[in-house]
Amino acid sequence: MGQFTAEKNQAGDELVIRLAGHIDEDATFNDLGLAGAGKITLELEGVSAINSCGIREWIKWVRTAPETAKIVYKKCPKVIVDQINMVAGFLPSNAKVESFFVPYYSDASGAEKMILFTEGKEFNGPEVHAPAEVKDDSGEVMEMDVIETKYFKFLQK
Amino acid sequence: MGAPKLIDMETLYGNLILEPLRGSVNWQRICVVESEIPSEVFRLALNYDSAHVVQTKNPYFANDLNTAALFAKDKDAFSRAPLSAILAPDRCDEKSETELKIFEQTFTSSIEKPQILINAESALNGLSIAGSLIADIIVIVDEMITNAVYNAPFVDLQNTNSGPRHRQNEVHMPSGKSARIFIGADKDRIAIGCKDLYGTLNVNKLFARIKNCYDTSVGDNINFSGAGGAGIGSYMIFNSSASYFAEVKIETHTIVCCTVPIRMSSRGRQKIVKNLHFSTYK
Repeated sequence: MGQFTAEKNQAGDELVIRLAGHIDEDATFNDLGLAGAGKITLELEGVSAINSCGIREWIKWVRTAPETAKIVYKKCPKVIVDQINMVAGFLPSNAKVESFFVPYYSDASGAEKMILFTEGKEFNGPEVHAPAEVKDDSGEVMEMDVIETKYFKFLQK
Repeated sequence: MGAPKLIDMETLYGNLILEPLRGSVNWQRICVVESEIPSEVFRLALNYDSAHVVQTKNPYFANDLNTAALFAKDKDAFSRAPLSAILAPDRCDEKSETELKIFEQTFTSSIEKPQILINAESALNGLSIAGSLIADIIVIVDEMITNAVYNAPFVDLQNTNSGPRHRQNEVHMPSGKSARIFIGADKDRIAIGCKDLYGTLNVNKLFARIKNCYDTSVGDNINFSGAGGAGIGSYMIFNSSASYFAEVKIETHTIVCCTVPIRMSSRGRQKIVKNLHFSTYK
């Protein structure tokens, strides 16, 4: 559960921000100004947890993005997908998810694996095309470990 | 929807009560239902004189009935040995508490939280459980510490005022008091808990707030004013739990605990109907 880190790169009007670690009340979004950006890409693979204050700080931060900006969430871990589905405003109306992780679980071994679902491959708009088979390290078939109607709810928007 | 029928409870469920606890069950304080959504669990808790809402479809129904019996038999048991009261109510004692405990840390200020989370994660890693479950538990630990540091020392008994801003660099618990976070496990479940020495939690207000998150939307319940917490932390704890426990000895202590099943898929965990136990006394 690493400490919160943020890395910001700007090329023209495109802003790429990579976030990682535990997002809580101490996570500082102050240095990550979004004003003036035409496109904002948030790379989120490294986010390990987010608490209630972190959710609040996140929503306040993404609200500062220009309404005309195109916002893209990339490689959303489960903790981010859960918040997108649970909290209105966590994914603003001008934002979309380009890719996100889906947990798979093996009842036999108890192993867990995160599979990246990418737009145009494993999902297209609201349609999900899950991989035919996912196996754990010992070759056991794993099952998608989500309630599909809940976890993929954000794709219906 | 009326009150659930209380008649014949002993006939129906008395055989599930283990020997040392038999005869001590106050069935009037236990509301047994089959499979209710969280909002209904809180409605039952808030509207009827029940201290325990337990569901037959919850996989730990029998165990939680015994915990309810223990609450009736020995009012102080939960305070003395919360982990064994939850995980092994028929042998709730210090020895059992020690055997079940995998992590414990006392704290007095907000700056201790990051290190506690690291230590808790390290203890959980020793259980060989899924990473996503550990992430869920760490958020529970985080929220419990946050409530103990930022809210418990500063709120009044009606919980009308908020504590200090959560982004204040350092908040110390006043009056030389401390709080304790603890985690225990048996082969099926992990129990996470926090005890503070203020006893200021208003359980009715807490339940109403969590219920509201289910009845409306979580986003609508976030406090954006900047003062106090976000207002959804306890909802997040309850939502991740199979059973939730809150005991308040007014102006003496508050204990909040929950359990999370292990050796179970995340999908299975999400489908579990929830049990609720609570007690407020002087």
